[in-house]
Amino acid sequence: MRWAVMRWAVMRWGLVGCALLVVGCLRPAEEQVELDRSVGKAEGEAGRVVVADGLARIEQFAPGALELWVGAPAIDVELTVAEGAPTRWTLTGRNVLSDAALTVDGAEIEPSSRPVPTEATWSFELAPGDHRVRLAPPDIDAVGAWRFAVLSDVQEAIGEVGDITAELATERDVRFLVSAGDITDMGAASEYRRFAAEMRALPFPFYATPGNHERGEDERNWTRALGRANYSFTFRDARFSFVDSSFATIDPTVYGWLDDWLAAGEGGLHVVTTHIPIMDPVGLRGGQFRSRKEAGKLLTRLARSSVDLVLFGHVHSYYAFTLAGIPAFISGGGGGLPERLDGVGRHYLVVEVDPGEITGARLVRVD
Amino acid sequence: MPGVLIHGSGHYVAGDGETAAELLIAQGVGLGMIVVGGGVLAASGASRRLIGVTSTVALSGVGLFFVPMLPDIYGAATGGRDAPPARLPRLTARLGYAWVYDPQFAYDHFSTVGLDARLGPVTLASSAWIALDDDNARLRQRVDYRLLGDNLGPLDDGSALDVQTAVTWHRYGTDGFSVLSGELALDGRYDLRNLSPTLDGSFVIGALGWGMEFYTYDVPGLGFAEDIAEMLLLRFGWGLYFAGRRGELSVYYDHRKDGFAAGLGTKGLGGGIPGHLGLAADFAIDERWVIDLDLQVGSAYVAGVGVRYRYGGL
Repeated sequence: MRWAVMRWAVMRWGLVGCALLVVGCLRPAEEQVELDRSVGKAEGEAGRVVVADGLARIEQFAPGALELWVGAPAIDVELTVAEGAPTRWTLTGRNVLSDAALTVDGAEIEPSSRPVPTEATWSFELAPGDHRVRLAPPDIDAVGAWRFAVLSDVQEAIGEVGDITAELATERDVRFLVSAGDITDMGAASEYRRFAAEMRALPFPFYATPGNHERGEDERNWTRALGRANYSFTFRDARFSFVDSSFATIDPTVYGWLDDWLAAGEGGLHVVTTHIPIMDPVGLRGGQFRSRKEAGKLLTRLARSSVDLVLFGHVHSYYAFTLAGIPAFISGGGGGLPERLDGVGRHYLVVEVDPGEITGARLVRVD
Repeated sequence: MPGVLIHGSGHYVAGDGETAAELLIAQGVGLGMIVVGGGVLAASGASRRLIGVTSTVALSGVGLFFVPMLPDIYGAATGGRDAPPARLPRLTARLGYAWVYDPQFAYDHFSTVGLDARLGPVTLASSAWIALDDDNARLRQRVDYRLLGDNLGPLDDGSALDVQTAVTWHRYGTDGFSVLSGELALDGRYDLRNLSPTLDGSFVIGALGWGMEFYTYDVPGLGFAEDIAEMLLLRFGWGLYFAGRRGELSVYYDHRKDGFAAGLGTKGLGGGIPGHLGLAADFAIDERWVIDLDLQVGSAYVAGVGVRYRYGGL
């Protein structure tokens, strides 16, 4: 009897062991890589559309209509209009810079409507064939001082985020908001819609990478709502790279992409944003990558490429420190359950950029 | 399955109410520690001022909650076995091989060597892992001082408590950095025969400590120990002795994330929190020669096998 129980236990524990091997998946972020690759491409009876580098999510592509969720200050689109498709087209861009201008085959088009600063619709004629569409602000290559803001870890405090957006909206010279993730509590589709709706109160767009709280429900919801989790763009003389660390690791494929972005960003200003701190300044807490050796590897790469700033969320407080000599901020002040006894509370950052360098970062307390 | 959900239920079904109560109490204390430690941790938002205590209490609670399941199943299934601890030799030399599959790193194969010496209450343990297919090497020197328990020879009771100190240097040449770390921990083992005859031949293990890491990057302009990071050292597990003093097998959870296995890769919200799981075993072929096995699952798979030669004190 006892040995029968023992055999049962061994079998049971064998199954548990197998389950642990599955749970201990080595590449939890691999699915996001495939999702990223799919962003910004569509084909149908209207023709074919490809957004360069997947920097916009195609919300709708139908004969005569293209709607985009824009994930960068400037995007380039290759649009092939099918034979027989309507020649009258409307393009709606959401999450765009308020002064973003649309050019189609080199000709600038005036917006036909702009219900909020970050959403616009343009109407124009397109004959069947290949066309180049570009959406970019006039200062995309300008030189001069400007600012961007940082807000992360809103989570369950979405109901109060209006306090923050109201304050953010008053900031001068802020061109866009960067978020290191946890903009939802469980990653539900309705939560993304709510967050995007709240951000419509801002006069500038937001660009984000997911946090671990975006992995609570269907992890595909991020891409369905906002597009890529891993991407990089340039604005003025600065490169911004967003890297998905929502599983406390970076997928090996993304390291390959990051290497390209780091190489492209060398010699200029480069800001890298990822949710989970590569290293937590409070090591006993361990709110950081699941592997400290991966942390060392990543920091070496960032330092060798002279990255100028790394931004994190995840920890619901504010920390200013350095990693491998790179200035780093943890800013998780969006309202998600705050770290106590730190005297910080809800907040956002405003980062000052002057040609080629970060000249300052201002902590703005909301409460 | 008796014992899996309610620890002690296996012994209760087998008619040993006293052991059942002790195991259930251990599970209950663990649950209480999870609730209190985890509750304060959550309510404080993982406050930097409390995290050392809250995470230690909560994680220790996890250990106390889960570990009694294994001796409950063991005791209910076997009723206890006459299996004393393995001999502790004066000198042990080890030669082995380890396969490490980590998609983040180029290495796969390591040669491993070690030398342990027991000098009264002090144990010196040196080990080295050298990659065969990459520029990667880890050297580790441990010095233990036995506070409680015998440290040599054939023991009747393997229970012991050590102060454990260690210095580790890990060079990631291909990846351009190295880590020097220092550790201080209390490391203990308790033979469960002291708790109940039905648990004879099994033991629990646990360790709690603190470590400091110093990161040096091969980057111009950066110096030695550019980044310094603390780490919580916490380990718990359960094991059984093989009959005839032939060795032991244990399964364990290790919270540290600085080794080859590092932390478990999990889907969902909790990525980055758990450490890794392991299984370790050694089996004596004869008085001198021992084969050992080490399996770990974290953000990498680690599988090691080695041969040990024992000398003195047997």
